[in-house]
Amino acid sequence: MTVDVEWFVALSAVLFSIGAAGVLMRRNALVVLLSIEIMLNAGNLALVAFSRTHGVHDGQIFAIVVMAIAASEVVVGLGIVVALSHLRRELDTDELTELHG
Amino acid sequence: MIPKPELDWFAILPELITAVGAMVVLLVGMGRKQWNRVASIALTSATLIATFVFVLMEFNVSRYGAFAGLIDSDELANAGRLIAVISGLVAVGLAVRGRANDGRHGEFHALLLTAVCGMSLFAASGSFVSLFIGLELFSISLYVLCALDADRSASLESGLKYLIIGGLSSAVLLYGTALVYGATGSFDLAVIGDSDSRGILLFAGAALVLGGLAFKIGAAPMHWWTPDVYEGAGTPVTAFMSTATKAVGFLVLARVLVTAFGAESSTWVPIVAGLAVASIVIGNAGALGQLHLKRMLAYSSIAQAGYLLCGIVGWDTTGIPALVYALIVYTAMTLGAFAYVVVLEREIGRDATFADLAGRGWASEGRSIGHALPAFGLVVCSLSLAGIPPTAGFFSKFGLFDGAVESGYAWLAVVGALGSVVSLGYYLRVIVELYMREPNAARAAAAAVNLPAASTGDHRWSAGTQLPVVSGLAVALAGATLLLAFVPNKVFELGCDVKANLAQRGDDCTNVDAAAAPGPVAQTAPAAAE
Repeated sequence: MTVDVEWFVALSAVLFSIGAAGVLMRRNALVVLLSIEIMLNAGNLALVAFSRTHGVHDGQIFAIVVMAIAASEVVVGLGIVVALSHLRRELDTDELTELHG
Repeated sequence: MIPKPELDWFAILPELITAVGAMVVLLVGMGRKQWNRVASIALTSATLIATFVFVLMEFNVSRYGAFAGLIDSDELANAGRLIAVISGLVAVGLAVRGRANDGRHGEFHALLLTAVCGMSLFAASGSFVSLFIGLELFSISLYVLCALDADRSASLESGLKYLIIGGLSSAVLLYGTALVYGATGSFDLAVIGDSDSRGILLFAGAALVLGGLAFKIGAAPMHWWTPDVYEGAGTPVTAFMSTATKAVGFLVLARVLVTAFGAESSTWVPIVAGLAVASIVIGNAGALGQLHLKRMLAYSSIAQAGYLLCGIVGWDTTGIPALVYALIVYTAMTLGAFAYVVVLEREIGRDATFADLAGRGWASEGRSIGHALPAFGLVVCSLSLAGIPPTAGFFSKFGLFDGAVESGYAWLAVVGALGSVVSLGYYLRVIVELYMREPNAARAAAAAVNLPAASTGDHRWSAGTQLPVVSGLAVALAGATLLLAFVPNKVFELGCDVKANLAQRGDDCTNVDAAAAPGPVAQTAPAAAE
């Protein structure tokens, strides 16, 4: 039994929307970073699904590249969050209002 | 048996040089001694100059489809590489003995080099895979560069905001890439351009790719991160990212839209025109109310992104040559303006507001010509950003609007011209402050009250320092802005080559005759100069 590609794409679209809603609506910096990961992984799921439809493997290889890149992005993000929490004891992005105007 | 792809190492030599340079600089910069600092500055400059020389030597050499189609190294790529390298060199000069450089010189210079490496890979990408890798390489470097002053919370806040918005835009771009891949079965821009698949999947994917890249170039409505990030990051970093990121972003946007989605141009041209109008309106309206110089420049860069988008709207006529010229001019004048902001910040020891400019244009007792000349440089750059005739900014705007008119978007040129009039409101204010106001310490202090607390307190350098290298750069960049006004011809020819490159890769959408046509039309700009 095989699952049609539409289902994978639909799932990835749902994941992408959940991630986008999380980035825009959640206020904790860690949850926002998690939501960005969900969005990137929605892209990965779509890449792998389409790769199977087309019968070529470059989509899967790109998905692995994206995982590596997403990991390094999260490392930087967590580093900044840790440095910020040392200075401010504050992770709520709505409280980050020193820069405004 | 998997065929071995052709490895044309020369196609990625600029990236190799900067990547190796970054590793060496990171090692050398680990020490905290004076010689480590001097060596990392010298090695970074040497790496960037070597890259610059190589790119100039190989400027006209096109190497398409290197590394199994991942790399398209052509004049468009080389124009992007040159701008990134020059911005990097200026940033190194501006950061000499600055706070981003103090004790973190190794990280600062190595990250600057990896950012240049990522930008040049981004500019030379022939496929969405290398495009994404290049984009992330320079973006992640820039997140860290923004947050490098880890003891100043404004810097960390700027880095975190940039990372969240950058991550969001990368995810949007990636999802768009995945949908385009689903529609066409390829990541290669030229193959996507040649494919005859035209479905909802391709349109949705192209829209997401456009949205993701619009974040990077800071075009409205994806602009809201720009002022905060520009204000919080160290000024040399801001200068670097506002010019280099925007320049390569625009070149890649042109490459993607024309090469991969050239056949859908009737759909995306109106969307790009809409983005241009939104950027011009929001950028100019936002800049009018700003007191803080860096925030004013951030909003002005949103407006400039709107003018530059006019070049992409006119891609099928003279827009692309005008865009290349305008990007080079934009780099010179924006770097020049930021260079004077650095001069001012070092003199007063905190972030600069309009009130701090008062009376600085005149040489008087205690203020030599060495203080007044860089201020005049800011005047030249402001006039150029506003598009006043004797400066290069006028010819670049003329070319961009001309391209839009040629392509049937005369109303867009009218909006752009109106936006330029509004922009005089804040660019001329710079000149009024410099020459027609008396320096007033009480007023400057009152204006500084609104600055973020962290940018008034712990600047590492003491107030009153002036470095010849920073002032010299401010003057030299203003000189370059004037000089570029006299060579639009030469740069337009380069732009025509870039356009021919694009046409060659996406040959189902543009024929080469059309690509040769802009030559004579482009002559109108220099004709207007005389």
